[in-house]
Amino acid sequence: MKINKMEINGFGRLENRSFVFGPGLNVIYGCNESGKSTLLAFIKAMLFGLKGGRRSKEGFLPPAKQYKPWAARMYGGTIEYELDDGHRYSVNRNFEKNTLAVYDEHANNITGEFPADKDEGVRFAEQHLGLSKNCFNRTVFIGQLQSVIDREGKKVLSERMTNIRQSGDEEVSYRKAVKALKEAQLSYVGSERSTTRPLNIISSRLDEAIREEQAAAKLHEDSINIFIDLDRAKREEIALNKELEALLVERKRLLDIAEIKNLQDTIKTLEEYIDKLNKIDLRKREIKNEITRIERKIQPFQSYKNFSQADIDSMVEDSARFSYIDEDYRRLIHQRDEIEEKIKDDEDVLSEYDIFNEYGAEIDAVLDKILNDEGGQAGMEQDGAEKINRMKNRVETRKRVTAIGAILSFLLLLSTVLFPGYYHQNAYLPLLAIGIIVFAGMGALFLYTLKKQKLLLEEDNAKNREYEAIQAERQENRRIVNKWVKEANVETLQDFIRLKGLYEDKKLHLQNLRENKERLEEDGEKIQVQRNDVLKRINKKLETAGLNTEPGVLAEQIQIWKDNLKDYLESVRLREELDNENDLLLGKEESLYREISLVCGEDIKTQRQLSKAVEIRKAKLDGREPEAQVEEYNPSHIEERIQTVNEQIRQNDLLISRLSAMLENIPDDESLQRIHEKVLELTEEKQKILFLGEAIETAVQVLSEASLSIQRDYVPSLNREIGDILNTITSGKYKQVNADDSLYLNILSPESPEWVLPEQLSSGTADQVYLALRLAAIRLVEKNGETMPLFFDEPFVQYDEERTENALRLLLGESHTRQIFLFTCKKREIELLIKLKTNEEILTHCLHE
Amino acid sequence: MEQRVSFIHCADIHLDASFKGSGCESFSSERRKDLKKTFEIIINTVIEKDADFLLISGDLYEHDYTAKSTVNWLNEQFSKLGDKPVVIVPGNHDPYVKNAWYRIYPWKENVRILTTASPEYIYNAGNVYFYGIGFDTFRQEQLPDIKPPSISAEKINICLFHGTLDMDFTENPYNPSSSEELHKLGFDYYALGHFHGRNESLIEKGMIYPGSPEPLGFDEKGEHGVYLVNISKKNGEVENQYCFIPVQQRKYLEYNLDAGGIQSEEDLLKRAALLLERSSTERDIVKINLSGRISADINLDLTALKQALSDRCFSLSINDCTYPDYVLEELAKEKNITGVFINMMKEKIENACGDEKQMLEKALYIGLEALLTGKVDIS
Repeated sequence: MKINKMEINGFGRLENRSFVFGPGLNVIYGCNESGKSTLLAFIKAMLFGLKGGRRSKEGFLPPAKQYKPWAARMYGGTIEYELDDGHRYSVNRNFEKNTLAVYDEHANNITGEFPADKDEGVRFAEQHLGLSKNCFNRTVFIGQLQSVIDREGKKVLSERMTNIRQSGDEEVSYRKAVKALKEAQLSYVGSERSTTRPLNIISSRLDEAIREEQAAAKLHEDSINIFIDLDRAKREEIALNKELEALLVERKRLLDIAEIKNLQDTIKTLEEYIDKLNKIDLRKREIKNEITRIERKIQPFQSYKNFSQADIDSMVEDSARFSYIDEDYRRLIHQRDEIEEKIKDDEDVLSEYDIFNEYGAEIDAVLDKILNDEGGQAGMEQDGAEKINRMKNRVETRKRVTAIGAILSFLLLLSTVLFPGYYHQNAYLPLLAIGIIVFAGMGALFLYTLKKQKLLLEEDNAKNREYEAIQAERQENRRIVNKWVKEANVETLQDFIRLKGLYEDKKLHLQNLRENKERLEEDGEKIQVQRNDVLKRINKKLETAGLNTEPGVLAEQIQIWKDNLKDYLESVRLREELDNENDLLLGKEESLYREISLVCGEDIKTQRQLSKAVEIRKAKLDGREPEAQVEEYNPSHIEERIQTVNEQIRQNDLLISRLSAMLENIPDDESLQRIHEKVLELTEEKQKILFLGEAIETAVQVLSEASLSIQRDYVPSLNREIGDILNTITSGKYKQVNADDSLYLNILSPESPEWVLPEQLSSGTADQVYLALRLAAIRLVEKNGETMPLFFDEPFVQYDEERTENALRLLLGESHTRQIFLFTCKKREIELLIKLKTNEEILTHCLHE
Repeated sequence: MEQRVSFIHCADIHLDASFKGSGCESFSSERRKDLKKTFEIIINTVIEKDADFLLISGDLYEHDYTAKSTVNWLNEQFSKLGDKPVVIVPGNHDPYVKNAWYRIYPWKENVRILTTASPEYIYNAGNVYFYGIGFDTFRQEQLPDIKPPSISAEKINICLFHGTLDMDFTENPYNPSSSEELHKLGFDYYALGHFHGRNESLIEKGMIYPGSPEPLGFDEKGEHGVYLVNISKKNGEVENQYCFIPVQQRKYLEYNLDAGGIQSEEDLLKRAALLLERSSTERDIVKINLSGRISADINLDLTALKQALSDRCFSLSINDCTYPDYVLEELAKEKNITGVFINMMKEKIENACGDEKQMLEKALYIGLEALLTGKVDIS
């Protein structure tokens, strides 16, 4: 392709300008801001159009507005070009109206022959050039090479060359792209080894959400199961309550029966009590009447109230005693009277015995003496002598015995003293002691017997002297007696004594009578006293009782007293008995009321209360009768069952409460759906990330394959082209280029047997290599297609004179085969070109007006 | 003697279902409320139309999610019908499993659940015979072994069926049967359920899929509701009348918007707003599929876009299917890695389908971005 002509009606600062270009090198000269870049933009815009819109993303004006002419009316122009096949075309654009017209060399409008779309418009340039806008831009426009001579510049150059090698495009970096993709993979996706990347985060969140969902699902399942359990428990509750109700009804029925029976029993019991109480009452009334009667009866006998049975006994006793005493007294009186008569008789008889009356005592004394002398004296004397003799004999005998005993005991004592060894050792001491004691005893007794014998001798002497005095007296007495015998007209002493005996008998009899009489009188007095005492007691009693105490009616009165007292006492006893009975009855009544209170379960103290209690029970009973067939009320059985059911109800209630609480605690909301939705969202999100990850991975993989393909199909040709171009530029110094395993560009230097990297070359050579690369790339891109014009925009700004010259030489060489546009603001470059000018025509355009 | 019944036939309400999020937190909750509102409308419709009974052909609720509160609410709704029977056949989402609410809950007396064990119910002094073929488990790849129906010419015979008819499913079939087989049973009406799209194609055989009364997703577009069915039978001659009654709360709407050539995001917002304004979508659930080539200079902020359009519909989701304005045909011509890469990718894309194709397309554009800009920006 060659651009032959351009007419600019208005484009940026360029207005109404016309350019005619040569087929080779065209230099467009202009100082800064003269419109070089605008011209370049015009060429691009004419071929590919201008992007519209309001504002680009960087904030710059969109190209369509950027190049709107400042003054010119028309915004657009015309470009004429010729393709390699010789066909010429003319394109007219109005950027203001965004219109385009393509004409062929015959001025035919062929716009409609090209594909068009809304964004890009009519795409004639792609058709004619075989390049996209981007590719065109990246291929044919060469800016400042920036191959400064420092390391950085070389590095940039190296990268560009590597890009070309790997991607076929110095602007497109395979490595950068892969790096960006891997970074994106890491940033937006992550990997199994990473932990904090989106995929890890989303996986972790998803796992957690799934766990939450499982927990929520289990909770949901649990809630249903709890509901089932709760429903069952509630049904159980109903059943249990029914059972309890039935049991309570049954218990009530049985209790009713029991109550009826109990009421009946109680009523019966109470009625029995009433009977008992009535009887007691009746009895009490009887007793009361009886007591009244008794009291009435004993009212007149109040004087007897201080008497007792003992008084009766004493009265009986006194009465009896009085009778005896009285009788005794009478008998004594009678006896006395009889004795008095006898005394009189005896006194009459005794009056005949004067002698005795006259000498009575003297006679007795004398007779006693005579009679004693005759018989008694001999006897007395004999008795005295015998007595003394017996005493003497006894004393003598005792004296002998004691003497013998004393001797024997002494001998024994002596033998023990003298022959102690003869005796058994054990018997010796006791024998010695016995010997001593016996000897002492015998000795003492012997001494006492001797003394006694002496006393007896003294007594015997006294007796003899007494006997002589008595004999003298006896003679006198005999003489008196004889006198008295005579006086008594009796013949003998014996008669006298006999007479005296008669007299004395009489006298004694009289004496006895008198004594009897005295005694009787004494007794009579005593009896009289006794009788009076007794009578006094009797009379006192009788008087107390208000009875007559006259002696004549004593016995009768006593009897009356006794009878009255007996009656009284009997009545009192009876009343006491009645009182006691009454007390007993009261006690019994009290006891009954206690029992009744127990039976009634309330305090009942009166018949009225009792009757009321019975009435209440009868009212309760209300005429009910127990069922005919009444099973025995077994409280323990039914109560046990009720207790069991109650316990079951309680347990069931607890279960219901627990289950209800559990059910309450389980959220009855949309949490399960929400967590499920969360799982779905996270799953989708994860899928998106995985999708993105897969896409990125695929992109990397396909890019790698594409790069390999490029290297395989493109790089060898590129190497060859570079080599050819280098060979031309360096006059054969460098002619071989290759890639190492790392895909870095290596150049075979004649100065070194080894391959060198571009950055190892001199700056000038590096620039040349770069130019060679660009040209080689262009050649490959346009291979089998249109030959593209090249546009160099101030390419040598930083070049020194020599390298500029070399570069210009290269361009001149290249202009043999393609149209080249060199935009420059340096006159020196023009001068150099003129200097280097060979046969090529160099067309210079000055942008200045 | 002529017998007449009128009833409401519905199915697939899916109470307490989960809804895939639309970015709005309350969306799924509101949708569940919508399901309940729709069901209330169904109940009210039964009352207003003085229908004799209500038929629910399965999937009344979601067993996996339905909580006691919903069941209580449902029972209250049933109680509004008084003596009017509610005849239900369990579906694959609410099967008659061991712990199914159908089984454990003390439903109102007018609620009749037809199960495999007890598939029959006779109503109205023997005038109407119901027979149910539903689900005992979540998966039922063949019809349950169920006692044969006792069809009687004197009665109006109604079959409630939840499952697939005339579908050649080789994988995951649900109670598969054919309309012909069912028709042979001789029912006067077949109250079908399972498919969420309303289907009257078998109406000649007395079979209707009423669809879900409230749509549950973007694959359930169009009108949704219930059927008011009148059946009269005289001397064995049956005459059925069907009337579709829309009851849905919201519609699922999906629009394709070509964003190609937009100059800016404002452009896109205008286009989208215009689109929604034209469609009056305030109550609806809308999805916009953006397509076309967008300049790489324009960075689409979908969140902001959604925010800007949020008051124009109940819920909005935007599916970005735009692609950068690379001229693939031209780039493909380049004799460099870009061209080679595009050609390789194109070849792979052409040979792929479905998700893989999408993935490869994504890989193409990501790869191109990396190549042409040296960076990858995925926002």
